[in-house]
Amino acid sequence: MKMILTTKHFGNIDIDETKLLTFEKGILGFENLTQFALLHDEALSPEEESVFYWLQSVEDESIAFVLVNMVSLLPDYNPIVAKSEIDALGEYNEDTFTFYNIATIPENIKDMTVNLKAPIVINSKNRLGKQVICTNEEYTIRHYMFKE
Amino acid sequence: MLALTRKRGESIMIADDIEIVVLDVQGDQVKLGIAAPKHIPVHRKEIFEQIQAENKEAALKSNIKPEDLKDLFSKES
Repeated sequence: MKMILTTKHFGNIDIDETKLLTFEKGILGFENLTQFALLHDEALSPEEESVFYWLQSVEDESIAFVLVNMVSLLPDYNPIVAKSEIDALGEYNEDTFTFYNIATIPENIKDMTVNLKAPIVINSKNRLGKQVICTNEEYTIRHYMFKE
Repeated sequence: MLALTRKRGESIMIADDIEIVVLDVQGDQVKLGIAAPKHIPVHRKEIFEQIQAENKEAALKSNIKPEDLKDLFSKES
């Protein structure tokens, strides 16, 4: 069933309600927001589109996060998460569980950082999502994407 | 908040399945051992606060202009 979603960066868009994601615990700092849409920017090239997404809140149109699929960009990125932390999303399946990282984009996009420590996990099978904290000591909350 | 004073080796029980034990005390550092069921995550408090703060900043700074991205990707390759 289609609905109109008011978004922070793309104006009003048509969206299939059944494609909405449920974050039962919201995300840290926004625990009250439980419904999100995962959006692409159609102005991006296919190469860019597979890396950058927007997580748009349905309940608060002013809240949208840029998500980056760091697993595809950093071959060594391997967040270790207690299985119990993602049990809430259903039975683990590497085909349907995807990890994304919230990005913070300052004025100069080259200074953008991604949160490797607390990725967003989404199970496309049941459309549930959660922000988890990985146990790896080496990952930070602010990893510079474009600096060595 | 409940305040309890414990010595090295003493424990606190939370509900019937979470135990916090004082493993060691050195100066102003306390080493704590936490035994909890696997479904209960345990983290230093600062990490929660830092993630919350970073999420809030990310929500404010979530504007990517496609033209900026094009520059980045062409430089990458």
